[in-house]
Amino acid sequence: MTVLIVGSPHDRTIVHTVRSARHQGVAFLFFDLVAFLRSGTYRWDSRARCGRLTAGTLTVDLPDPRITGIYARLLDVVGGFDPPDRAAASARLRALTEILTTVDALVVNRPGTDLSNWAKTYHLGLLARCGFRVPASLLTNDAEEARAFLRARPRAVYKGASGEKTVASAFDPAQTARLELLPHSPVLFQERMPGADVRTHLAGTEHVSERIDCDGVNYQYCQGGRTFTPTRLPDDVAEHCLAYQALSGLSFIGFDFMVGDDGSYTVLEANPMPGYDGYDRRLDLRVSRALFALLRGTAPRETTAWTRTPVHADPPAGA
Amino acid sequence: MILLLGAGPDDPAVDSFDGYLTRRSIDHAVCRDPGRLPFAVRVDPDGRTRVRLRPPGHGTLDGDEVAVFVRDPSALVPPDPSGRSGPSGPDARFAADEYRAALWSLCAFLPRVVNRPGPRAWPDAADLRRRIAPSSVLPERWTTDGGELLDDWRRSPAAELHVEDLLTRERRIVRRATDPGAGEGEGGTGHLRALFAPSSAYVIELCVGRRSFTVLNEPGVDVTAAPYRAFVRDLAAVLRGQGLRFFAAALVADERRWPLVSRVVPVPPFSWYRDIADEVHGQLCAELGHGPRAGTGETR
Repeated sequence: MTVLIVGSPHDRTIVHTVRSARHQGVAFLFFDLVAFLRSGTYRWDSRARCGRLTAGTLTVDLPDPRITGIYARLLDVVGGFDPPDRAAASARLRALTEILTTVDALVVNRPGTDLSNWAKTYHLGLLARCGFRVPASLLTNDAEEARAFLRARPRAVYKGASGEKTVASAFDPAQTARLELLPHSPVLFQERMPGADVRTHLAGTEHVSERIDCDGVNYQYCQGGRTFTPTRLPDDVAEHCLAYQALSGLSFIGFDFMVGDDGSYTVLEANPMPGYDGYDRRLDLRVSRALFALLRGTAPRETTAWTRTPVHADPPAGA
Repeated sequence: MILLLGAGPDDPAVDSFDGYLTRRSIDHAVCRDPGRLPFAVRVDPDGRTRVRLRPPGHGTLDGDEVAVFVRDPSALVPPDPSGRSGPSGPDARFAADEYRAALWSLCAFLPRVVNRPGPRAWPDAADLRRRIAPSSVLPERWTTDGGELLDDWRRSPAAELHVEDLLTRERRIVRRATDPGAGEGEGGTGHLRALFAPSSAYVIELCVGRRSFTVLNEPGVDVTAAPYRAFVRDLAAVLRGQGLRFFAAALVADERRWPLVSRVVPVPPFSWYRDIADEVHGQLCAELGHGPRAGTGETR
């Protein structure tokens, strides 16, 4: 019973996963993504769904009945290669993505299963379909629409429309004149939710949560003090998480919530490739224990991505 | 009204559809620059969504008043707003990513869209291939070992090997029948994707909703035969499940004359349907809610 960990040795989440596996006595193989992209070999038969990968001294045949699960974080590190090596690294990444997308094995998470986090407004719509409360939001490139939204919600925040890294910031009325620049790049405005942040990791059916209190809009960039406290999701919110898991096909998800003083939960997003290491260290490795249980087959398995019923062929209700 | 969105600079498909709609006085607008399409997508706390657009010359419209034909999602790119970084500079790339994500959200929420994006955005050819049962597509290999690939092919019954070099994007066809020694030295750069194919004579089916048009039939397959029609109908149904209502499928026939998918093309070149453009545009109008629905499985 072995877990295959695929990722970069420079990715702190991968480093933590390897250390946690060692600490918890989980048998694992580490497939070095950077070594593979630099000089690895591959062969894959898409019809038989079998093949072989090598990275450094490691050779892996897939599928392998001894490998019960594959944990993969395919960060695009190709940009860090010297220009002459980038094309070959991109080709290897493309092949590896094809293999992990189609291999008949548990892959956490299978590449490309749910990319909706890259279209944040659509993503909110999917989360709402699962029963979550979401922040009132406006995606627009129209200054007039933005002004109307901000008049109704003067304590708004704004951020990018895509998955590109942007920092959610409080809207300052002094920025009103800049709304005329919106046609150059659309922006997502949201009502600012008062309260504390809660981060929940769902691995299989196991959920582990932590509450973060701070003074800023975004606790990850908060200048002041932060307080981290283990917490537990209300049952109905946990049910919504499982509903999103079923809808998306993801088996390991990081949910971000705001919880109000009245205990109401509002979901901000669901991360399909959660960087869970910091939370896990504070939570006595409960996240990685749940993740390894999933990967070792001692927790409920995902459905296979390429045989799953399509989830969004029709427009959502209320569109 | 119909909004035609996302046309590459050299793509005549939208011009042709534009002309068709103009000749029939069907209300429409063409948008090649998303920066000139003011829009707003609101999501309420309970998930209710409202979309408003202001297509050029059409005032403000609610989402249910607009049907969208997305010609080419990769063309949904605004000009560089700053003019500083050039078309491939960081500002332009950021704005392009933001617009692509925004229009992905917008189109996912509208009731009538061809082609509709889903959780994987607008699927590309590789993604669509994976959605089809493996037994219905040509066997595919990915490898860094060209020699082993050739050995596998020689042991297989496939008459041809269709090789793509993943680095150079060059494609070539190796035929056993014409040159028994063919393929030696076909390792290329050592990053290969290859299809084991019975031939390179293609049938191309252009599918619009439930209707399909045979726009090429090189091997002379009986495209009216019931099993063939059933195959195309089932293929279209699978891809409709991925939001795809307008696409082309390149098929080859094996020795039993049974079709296998070589490639799904989600943005069919206009040259493939220029001769039947009016029929295709009529069916697209029906899919967009502007015209009668055509029958099912019709073949030209």
